[in-house]
Amino acid sequence: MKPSFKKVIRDLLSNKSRSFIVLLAIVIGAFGVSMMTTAYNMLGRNLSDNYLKTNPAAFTLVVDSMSDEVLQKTKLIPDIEFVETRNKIIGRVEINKNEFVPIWLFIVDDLSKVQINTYRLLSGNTPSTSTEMLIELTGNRLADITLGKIYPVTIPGFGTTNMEISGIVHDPGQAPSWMEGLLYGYVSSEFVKSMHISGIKPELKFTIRTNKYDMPTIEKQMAKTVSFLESNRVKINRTEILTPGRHIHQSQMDSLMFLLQMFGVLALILSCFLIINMIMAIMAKETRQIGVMKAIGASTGKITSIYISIVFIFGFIATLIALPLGFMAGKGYAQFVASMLNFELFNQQISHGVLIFQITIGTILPVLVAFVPIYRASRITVREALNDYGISDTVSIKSAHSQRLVNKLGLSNTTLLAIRNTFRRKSRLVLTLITLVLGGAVFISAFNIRTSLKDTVNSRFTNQRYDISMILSKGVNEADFCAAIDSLPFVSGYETWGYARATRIVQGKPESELMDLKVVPLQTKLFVPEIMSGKWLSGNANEVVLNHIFQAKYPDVSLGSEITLKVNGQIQTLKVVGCIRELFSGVTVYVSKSLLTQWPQMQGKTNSTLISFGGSNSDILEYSDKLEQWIKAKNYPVILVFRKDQYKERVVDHLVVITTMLIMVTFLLIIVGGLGLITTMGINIVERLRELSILRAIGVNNRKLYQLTLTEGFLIGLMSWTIAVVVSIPVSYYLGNKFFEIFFETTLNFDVSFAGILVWLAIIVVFSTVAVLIPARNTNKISIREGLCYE
Amino acid sequence: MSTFIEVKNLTKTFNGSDKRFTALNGVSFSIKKGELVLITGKSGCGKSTLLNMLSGIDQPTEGEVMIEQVPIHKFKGSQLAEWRGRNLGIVFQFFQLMPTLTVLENVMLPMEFTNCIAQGQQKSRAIELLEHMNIDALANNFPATISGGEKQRVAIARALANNPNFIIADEPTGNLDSANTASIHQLFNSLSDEGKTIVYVTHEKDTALRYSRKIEMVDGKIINQ
Repeated sequence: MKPSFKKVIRDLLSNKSRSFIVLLAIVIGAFGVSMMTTAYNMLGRNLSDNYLKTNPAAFTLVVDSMSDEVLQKTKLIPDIEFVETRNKIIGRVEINKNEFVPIWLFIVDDLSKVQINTYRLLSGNTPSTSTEMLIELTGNRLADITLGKIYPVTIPGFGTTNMEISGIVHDPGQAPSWMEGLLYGYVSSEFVKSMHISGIKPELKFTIRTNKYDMPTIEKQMAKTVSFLESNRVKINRTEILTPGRHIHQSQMDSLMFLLQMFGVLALILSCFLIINMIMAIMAKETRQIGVMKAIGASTGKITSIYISIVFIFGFIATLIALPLGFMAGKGYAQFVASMLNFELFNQQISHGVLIFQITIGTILPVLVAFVPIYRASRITVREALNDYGISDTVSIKSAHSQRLVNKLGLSNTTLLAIRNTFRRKSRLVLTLITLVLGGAVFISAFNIRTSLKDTVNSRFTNQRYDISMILSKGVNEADFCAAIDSLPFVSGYETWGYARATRIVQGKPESELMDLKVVPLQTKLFVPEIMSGKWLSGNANEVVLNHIFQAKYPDVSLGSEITLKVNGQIQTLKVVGCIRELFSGVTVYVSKSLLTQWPQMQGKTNSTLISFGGSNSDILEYSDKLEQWIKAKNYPVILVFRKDQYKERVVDHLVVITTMLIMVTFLLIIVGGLGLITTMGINIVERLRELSILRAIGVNNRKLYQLTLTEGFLIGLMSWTIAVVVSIPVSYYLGNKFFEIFFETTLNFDVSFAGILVWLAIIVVFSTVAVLIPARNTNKISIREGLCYE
Repeated sequence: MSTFIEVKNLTKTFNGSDKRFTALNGVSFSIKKGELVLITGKSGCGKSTLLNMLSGIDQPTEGEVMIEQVPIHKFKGSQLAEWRGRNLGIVFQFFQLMPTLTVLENVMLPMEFTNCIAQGQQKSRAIELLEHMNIDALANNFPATISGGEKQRVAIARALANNPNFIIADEPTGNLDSANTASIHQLFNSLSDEGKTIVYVTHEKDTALRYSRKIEMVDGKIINQ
């Protein structure tokens, strides 16, 4: 090895802590990039291996009835790949005595030969009898789903039957059971017959042969199919096209990836600043030796290349460390996201292109970042380099200014010296401040987003002043129902609502996806709408209020416009009077009870109730149990009993991944920001060893020296903290809102986390102290004579 | 003997915050090949500035510096570095050895920068020089472990690495005791005998060097040569 390389390598090895920080700075950046790209690549590759492999339906037609002959003919339509009927029945599984979990039972024509919306049998067997069912794997967090387990399953209005779990399946097309709070079951059409379930309208699922995920092609093919069926006297009840190739929870993945991307990029930027800081500090220390090397014949280019090569070696070592760690973290994150999307990571590899990109970033980026400070340091003239004695005459604060400051604030000379020292190396101060401000701003932003998220979620539940929401499969006499509820001593309040599924009709377009329609009493006390625009319902039968999900999905609808809805076969045109924010909800519209006068079948009836219990949260379980006994006794056809506390738990589950990631990011930032401060302060002190020795020689004691250096550290820390607090507000506002927009299609209740601000201040104070005390203590150990000879 | 160094009307001015300071004021002289020239004067008289001009470490405000008829005052950064590496050996007062390189590696460093010596011969050349300086036993020592006199011998060996014709020594014995000073003087005398042109800067009046010429400076001017 050439002497010049030996020199630089030995220089770096001789100051292990400094070299370690450079290495760590590069590791952090490479880790951020590696984690981000690994997660992206892995999820991207598995997206097609999971959801798309299920061969999701291109479109769905709900028909009144259809003969087998027409069905066979439909299969022969050109470009139609597969046709299958797949109906869904909503029931309830009694997993423990009086403890129910909703279940979506999919009725499959031939359980052994599913071609559309396929699932994978993981264990057990396909049901051979009407009392057997398959259960989706992710239900294991809601119920014991071991093979052979028998549960009573109630289909509202059609009785209860014991069903045995014959097999466990994985269905990536569904959101995870634990997240939705319901089980997915798969039964044969024999089940329908055995339960004498009637009134089911066949739901036909279609896939097409070409351009499977192209919306215009699908629309065209659906129009052809509808026309064919209508010509065969099949009445089309409803049509549906889900966004092609897009998983039901794709927006959650997008938002999680957005956060990962943002924080990955920020970690990279921070790492770059830390690298620049460190390299500048190293080069400052090397000044005299650079001068000597130039004096004995080394050119600027030669010196630059020596130091650049070392940065490259650092980058290479850092990449070797960061890549496996980033891969593991990225894989962990991908698994986390996959679990939210009900994915399996079949392929846990990353592509060669991504690997090359990661290696390039880890090795080349530090070189690019370090090039300017290295080149600038290498360009120094021999005279300038050899005259660098570690005592600079230049100060940035004019003596008149500082004197005024002393007079005004009554500062001691030590404090004044510390203030002047802080501003001596302006470029280094700026870089340190940028690193610390970025670290601090993102740290505080992470806290702000967490607080805002918590506040927004809490506001949602505060507005729901009920404990239980109940939906029946059909309307029951409202007066009788109210009288029965009145007799329940544990019910402190209730409201009877109405519930239906609706579609939006727009001329010339296919019918919309199904949405919830809620019929609201005039004076609702158990539900406080969070109005975003317009007003709440006034009781007028023609008014409708939308939730923000509706507005996000159908941006053509605005306040004052009219929308046409199809509810239970009836067409209703309503005027939009308001829009409310409703997190963790589907597309929902709210109408007044007065509208029921136009629906004869619902007059005097109710199929939905909100109930509040008296007592504390701990009583909810007991009261829910009593309510279930009451429902059983009264034989009400209940589809869903929705417990708000359980739901809130699920929402928290949804958000756990985000908060976990934010915590991870904050830790990373503590490391980066702290290293930035420690490095700068350490180098500031070591560099001024000669100057500090002069101070000691003229009688300044160690306590004063500590005071001097600590003041300098605190000053930098406090400056960065103040700027970080200011910068964090727009950063967190943007990041939080952007994240919320993708995740929830609405804005965040923005809140500033004072805890975050104070925690960062505490961290800055601790790091400032550590950053100053360690090098200051080491400096004080060196004798004055050695310090004065220091070069 | 032919003229080795030709300095004409050399002026160097530094701009301070309040006023301009003239370190060299119209200095002219010439040095013949193989001469050992002593430059003396009190601190601040301009001898280090003159040395910087002769070594191309700094550039004159006015005037010319021709070394072996090469106008080095016209050279820029990397050109100067290359010229220094091939033609000049510098010996500093504070040795300026690389603390993290061994004695041998310190001597090899200039060879690496210029490639004047074939790569395969650099080590043997360095050992040869160390033998010449009587410090070959210290080849694998780091500078921190050797004495001041030994360090200066290493620095001289390094200055000779690329076999330059011109050597500049800036107060090379300023940090040495009398025994080591005498030994270093002996070395410079023998180098002069070998035909090297040496410019030796010192403020010591009674140097034991067998110099062929003495240039005395006061306030940026030559008062005696």
